[in-house]
Amino acid sequence: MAEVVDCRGLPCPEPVVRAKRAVEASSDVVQVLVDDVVARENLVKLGRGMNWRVDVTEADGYFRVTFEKDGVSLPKGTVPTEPGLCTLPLPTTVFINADSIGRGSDELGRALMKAFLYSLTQIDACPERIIFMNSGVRLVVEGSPVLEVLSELKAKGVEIWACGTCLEYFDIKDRVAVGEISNMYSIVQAFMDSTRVITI
Amino acid sequence: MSKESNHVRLTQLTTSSGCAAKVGPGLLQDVLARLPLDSSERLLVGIETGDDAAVYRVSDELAFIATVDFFTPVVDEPRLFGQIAATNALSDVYAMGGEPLLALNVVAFPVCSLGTEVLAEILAGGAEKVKESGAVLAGGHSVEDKEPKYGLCVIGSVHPQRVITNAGARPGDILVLTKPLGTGIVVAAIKAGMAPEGARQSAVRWMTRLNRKASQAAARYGVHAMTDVTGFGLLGHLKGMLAASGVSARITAARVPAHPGAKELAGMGLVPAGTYANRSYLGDWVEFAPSVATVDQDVLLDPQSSGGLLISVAPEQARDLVRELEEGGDLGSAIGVLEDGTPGRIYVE
Repeated sequence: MAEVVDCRGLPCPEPVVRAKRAVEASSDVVQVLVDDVVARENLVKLGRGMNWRVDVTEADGYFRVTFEKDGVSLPKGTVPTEPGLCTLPLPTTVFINADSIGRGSDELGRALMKAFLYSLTQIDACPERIIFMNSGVRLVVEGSPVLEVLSELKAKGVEIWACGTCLEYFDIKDRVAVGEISNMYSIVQAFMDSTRVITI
Repeated sequence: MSKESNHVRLTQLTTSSGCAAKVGPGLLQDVLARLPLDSSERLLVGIETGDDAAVYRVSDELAFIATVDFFTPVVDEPRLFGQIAATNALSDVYAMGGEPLLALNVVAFPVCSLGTEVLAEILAGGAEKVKESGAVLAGGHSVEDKEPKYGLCVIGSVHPQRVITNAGARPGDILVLTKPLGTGIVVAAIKAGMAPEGARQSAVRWMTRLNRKASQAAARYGVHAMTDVTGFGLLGHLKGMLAASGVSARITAARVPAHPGAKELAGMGLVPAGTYANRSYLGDWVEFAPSVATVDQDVLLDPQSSGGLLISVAPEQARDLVRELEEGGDLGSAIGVLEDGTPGRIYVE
């Protein structure tokens, strides 16, 4: 017998909260009853987002949303990784010491940087880590045009390190949006441990 | 902060939050259509263009901007809620290219059950932002109400020749957005107790940021049109601008900035009801390319509380404006371009 959670009449986002809690706690099929379209749509999104099987039926003016945790569900925020997807045979560090690539035009340089990081997400082999220094740290803070790309790399297992001294210098230490804050000692250690360091 | 205010979770006291609590655009139009339209040659901006505030010419050198805006709690901390609500209300003046002069508190509050401590904190937060804007807080009005609400009535000033409305956008203009989107989603997640700290911090930081510098930069460049992005979402407010200006737009979803974590939260069903209302109101006016994922669509339709400015600027000035916005600490995200198509139409690729 499926567990039934009655969320009829509850305002958003309460049905999502209760459904998530119930499905995560249950080893069985969970049915959630809601009576408005917004709640129904949000429950379908929840199911898809959590990789659960979702089914919706309508009866007597309300919706019955059925969740089934098809085998193993993935913990929140993880990306399915295929073996070997993101490893280079040789531990590689990418060193980015400015927010744009090359000299001549900063505007072109910024576009190139964006393209470079995006391309990194598209190839099979990823570096072990990317280290950002000097104005390069601007790329890891809120408002950076490459946050999404960096988050994607991070989800694939690439470490994102930003130089703490540099963040302090630009007064953006409280705005770091991806990766971790590092120090010169760890950075030097990482260079020494890498088989190759690619400097951009 | 008092013990009492630590216990209260403001967002649990209401069924809808912030600008997500706004009456839907479709409903609002139906109601307003039944009202007689007042007109005066001194009224430079009324309700016809769906602008952010009314503008009234006092003399050839001076026009007043008048606006009122209040909403239900978007965060649990009273002082922070006060700051956000005030920032949001002041924004309507900035969206017209003006400077706020005078503000009055608008308050609905369950004084009997919550006590005065929490209210005092909310008002203190609001007062901080009014002060930061350079305006003077000069009183207000309060009523007893089960669900707390707070905001401001604001009077601002602008030179009559330099009002920036919704109606001046031209084909070829670049659309620039000054804050990331997704506050509606993050607020829903805060209510649900599911917001990651990074998402919350980003939303709070931007919701408490005045649109003052961005507005001043836009005014310096004499931009063609401007509005602030609030309850009707980016696409809803853009549609208003396009309809008033008689142009169409092409938006590149990948260029639109969002709070970190907002898309993941939307993908888990933390999408406020306002998003669905905005989607159904816009209907066929918006066409999404098949490549635009549902979470990206939800972000574009997400009702914003204290959102950024949406600016329509001549292409030859866009680069300099973007640089100046970024140097001032705002975002300067060029998210799309205006075209000479069916007025009001939006294509998202």
